[in-house]
Amino acid sequence: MSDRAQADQGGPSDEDLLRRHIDGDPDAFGVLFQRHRDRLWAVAIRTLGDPEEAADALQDAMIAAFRRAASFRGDSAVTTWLHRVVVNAALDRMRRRASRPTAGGQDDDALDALATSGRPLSDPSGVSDTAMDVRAALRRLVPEQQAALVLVDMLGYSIADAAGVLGVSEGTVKSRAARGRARLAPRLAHLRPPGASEVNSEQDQRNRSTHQRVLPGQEGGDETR
Amino acid sequence: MTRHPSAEDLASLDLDALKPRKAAKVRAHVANCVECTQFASRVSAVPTILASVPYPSMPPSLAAQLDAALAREGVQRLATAPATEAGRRELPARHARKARAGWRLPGMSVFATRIVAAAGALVIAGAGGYEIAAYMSGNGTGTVTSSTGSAALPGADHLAFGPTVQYGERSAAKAVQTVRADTNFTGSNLGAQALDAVRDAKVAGVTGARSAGGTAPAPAGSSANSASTNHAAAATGLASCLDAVVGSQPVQLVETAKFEGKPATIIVTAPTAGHSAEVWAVAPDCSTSHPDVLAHQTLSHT
Repeated sequence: MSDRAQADQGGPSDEDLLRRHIDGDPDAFGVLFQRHRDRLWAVAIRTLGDPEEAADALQDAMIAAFRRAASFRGDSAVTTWLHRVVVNAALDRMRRRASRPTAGGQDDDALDALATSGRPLSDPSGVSDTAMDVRAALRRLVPEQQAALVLVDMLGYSIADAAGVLGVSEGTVKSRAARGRARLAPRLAHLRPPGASEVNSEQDQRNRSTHQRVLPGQEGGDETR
Repeated sequence: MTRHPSAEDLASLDLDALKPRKAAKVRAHVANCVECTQFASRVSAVPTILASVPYPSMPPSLAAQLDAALAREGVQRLATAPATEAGRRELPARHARKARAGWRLPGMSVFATRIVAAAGALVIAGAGGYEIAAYMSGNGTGTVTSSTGSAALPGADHLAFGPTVQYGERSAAKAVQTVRADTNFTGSNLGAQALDAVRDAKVAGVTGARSAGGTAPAPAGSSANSASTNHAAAATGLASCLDAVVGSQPVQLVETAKFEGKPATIIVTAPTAGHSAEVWAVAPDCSTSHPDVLAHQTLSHT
């Protein structure tokens, strides 16, 4: 529910609630959270993929926001700030996950080669679970790219809003989204919506190989680890 | 044929992320390159694919869990955090407040009391013409060190500072700022009133035990109270009363007020791993040898 809708109903604004919380009102933050929790959950579950991890990240984020509310400077909307805290909590978890030796992400190059060889990454039987495929593909992106795609593509936030949440420039959001989409495109091609034309598989394979060979930009850049 | 644009540049077309000249160049290439046309088409499909993935909505159990976690935070903040300056300024008048949801006591809301128990807040409230707040950490004899006296809290005409009381073993002595209030606690509403008292005092920045070694900072505008000597004498008695009444539980608040219309001290303890939060109303002459408890209530079922 939007802040504006609340205001229309005569309820306190997000800013009012945060102020009351800082001033010691024991209930204000809970009201603020209840107002936005569905959207914040949507961000957490899409970023992390796993409900338990998303729950942990959301709780970590809300407790952090509760405690650090006084440091909120009002340079963005309260909702933007809440989103940022959640995204940061999720990114922290992703980085920790990525740093574990057994976690995925170490063999990106091998998987890229596999993806561009024309063989699907998903179930070879052809029974593909869109959600699982997307999740697996997303996990191959660096966390910053994932976060950009979650906000912009999955949840439909504007570039400007996503930039506010992520605390970066709009240009950086676009760059991250572009790199993320470019890396996902080969992996998700088999999930294309109906009606989208596709070149036959042999041509497809050749084309992708060409891009893989000729276009080092796909893997380059400061966003790639 | 010109060199293929990078995958990122192709993806950047949809995002309007290229400078006009470069965008024109990339488009010109794509228009004449089957490979890049196909790649751009695939990239353009990505947002639609991503948006089509279903995800579970927030489980109700998680919503409840998060509400409880935030409520715990609220209790902990009340119990341990210093009040902000703004909080002092805007201290609400307790009379105007009613017990709030989330702060109910046993018999009112099992859910809320569980939160209180988990948070570890301790409040001691007492009755009498004096004020003492102390933190019990041992069986040592209490000593009153404060000459703070009483001072009206800014913006809170119903609350006033009393002396700071130290007690407990020397190695672990704690000091607590006491408060006075004109609240008339009642047996039937003792628990809810106690929690309100803790909250108000917290907002005013006067509760919470500190390590002994320094006296509590006096609030702006504080002034010596001519009754501080009497307060000190009473405080000594109360410190010993705390030993007798609350044992080793941590004391959150000691407030002198009234109980059923008569002077009394309200003592609230914080819940610990093995104990629930409790509130006592004790008579002014309560001491180790004469633990005159007027009323006692556990603030949790657990």
